[in-house]
Amino acid sequence: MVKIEKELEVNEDSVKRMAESVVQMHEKVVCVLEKPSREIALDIVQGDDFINHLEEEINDQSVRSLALLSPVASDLRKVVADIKIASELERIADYAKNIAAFLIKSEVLEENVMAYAAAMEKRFIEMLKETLKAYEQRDVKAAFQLPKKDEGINQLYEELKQNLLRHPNETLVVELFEISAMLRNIERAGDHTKNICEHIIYMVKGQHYDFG
Amino acid sequence: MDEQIFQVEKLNLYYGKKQALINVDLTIRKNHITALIGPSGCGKSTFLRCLNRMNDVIEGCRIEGSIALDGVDIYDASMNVVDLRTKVGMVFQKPNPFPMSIYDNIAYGPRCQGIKKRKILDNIVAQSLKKAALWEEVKDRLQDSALGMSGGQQQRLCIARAIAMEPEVILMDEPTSALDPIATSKIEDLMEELKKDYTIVIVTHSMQQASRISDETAFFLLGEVVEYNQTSKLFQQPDDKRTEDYITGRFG
Repeated sequence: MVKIEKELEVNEDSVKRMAESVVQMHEKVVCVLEKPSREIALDIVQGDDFINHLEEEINDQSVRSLALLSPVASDLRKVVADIKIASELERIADYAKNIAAFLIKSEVLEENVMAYAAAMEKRFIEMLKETLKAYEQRDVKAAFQLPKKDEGINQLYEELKQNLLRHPNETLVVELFEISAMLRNIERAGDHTKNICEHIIYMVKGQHYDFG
Repeated sequence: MDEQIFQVEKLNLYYGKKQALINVDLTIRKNHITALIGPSGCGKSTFLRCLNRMNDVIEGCRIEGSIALDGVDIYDASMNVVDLRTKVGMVFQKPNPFPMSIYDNIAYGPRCQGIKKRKILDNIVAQSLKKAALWEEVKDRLQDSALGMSGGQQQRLCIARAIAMEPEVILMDEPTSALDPIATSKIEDLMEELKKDYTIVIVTHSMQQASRISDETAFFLLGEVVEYNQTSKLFQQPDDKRTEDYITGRFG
């Protein structure tokens, strides 16, 4: 095996490990949305440090490969894609942390809002898991199709917005800004998952796509 | 659109019965650096030597196809080989200065062409050494033997010697493989400077050198050109699987 292949494998393992942890964080978010738990929410917030550490590790490994092994062609694209995917994952983890922090601070939210947020999270987690599978399998076809799933998340977001506007309620109006900020985290996590799809396509094909 | 200087069409070359180049089609652009890469024995040096007919001196070497320099077939019977090699200079792997003074090394070619006036020769020597980024280092010892110079200086002297003939093209056959990284970097900087006035074709075993300095790269394999592409394209997204395997070190 060529030395760069070994290095790329080590790096890919780190990306996968990081991805699994990020998925777990968001799964915990669903738990807290469905059944409020201060303990689990705190756990999510603390888990973010580990993710940041993993991102640094992936960056260091990548820089070492670049400096010592001068990768070219598909090897070079793999190194670049791993750096970028790690940075997307780091952001996606931040969103889980933000939601958890919000849930710790806020009183119990209206059921309707929690249910919608949980539904959005579930869709997002499904999309993220499939995206990571596409990464492992170098599945460009899937990487082209997965960004469409983001529309489902946005749709739920719109639905909830319409619902809340139709039945205005005074306490809700006060909280609305914060709720909207919390939901925006899920929506943004979906966007970053679309970016991962772009990086997968670049990694395999060397072409740039913008899914918006 | 960049100007072309060499147009190679359907070039086949045989050493006796063995075919060393197979159907090579290649266009070399003026004022560009073209790198030729590939494993040992792939034909890249053979191809380089075709460009100024250095293969003529090898017994049993036979050529088919055509190579045009500025539109003129260099293998045509009417081509004067001495003129051709004046236009297409060459620098080799090992620096090979003549065993004479720095000054005489540069003046050798112009003298052979009949230039005798001291003033003109002085000027050619100074200009050539300046272009080869060697002037500052040797201007006070032009009468010293060239053999006392460092390897890197000797190689730049050989480049200056080629420049003194006012060529259009400079062929370089692994010009830095015998040099340390500092001397190598000086030659690479020099090539970047020289391409404003000349066209450079370089054979190199260093993939990083090819990617650092060249505009186009041709990948040779078993006598064929597998891929000829812009260097940035070839090293980021080669079109051919064999190129990818070679440049990433997964060959064979």
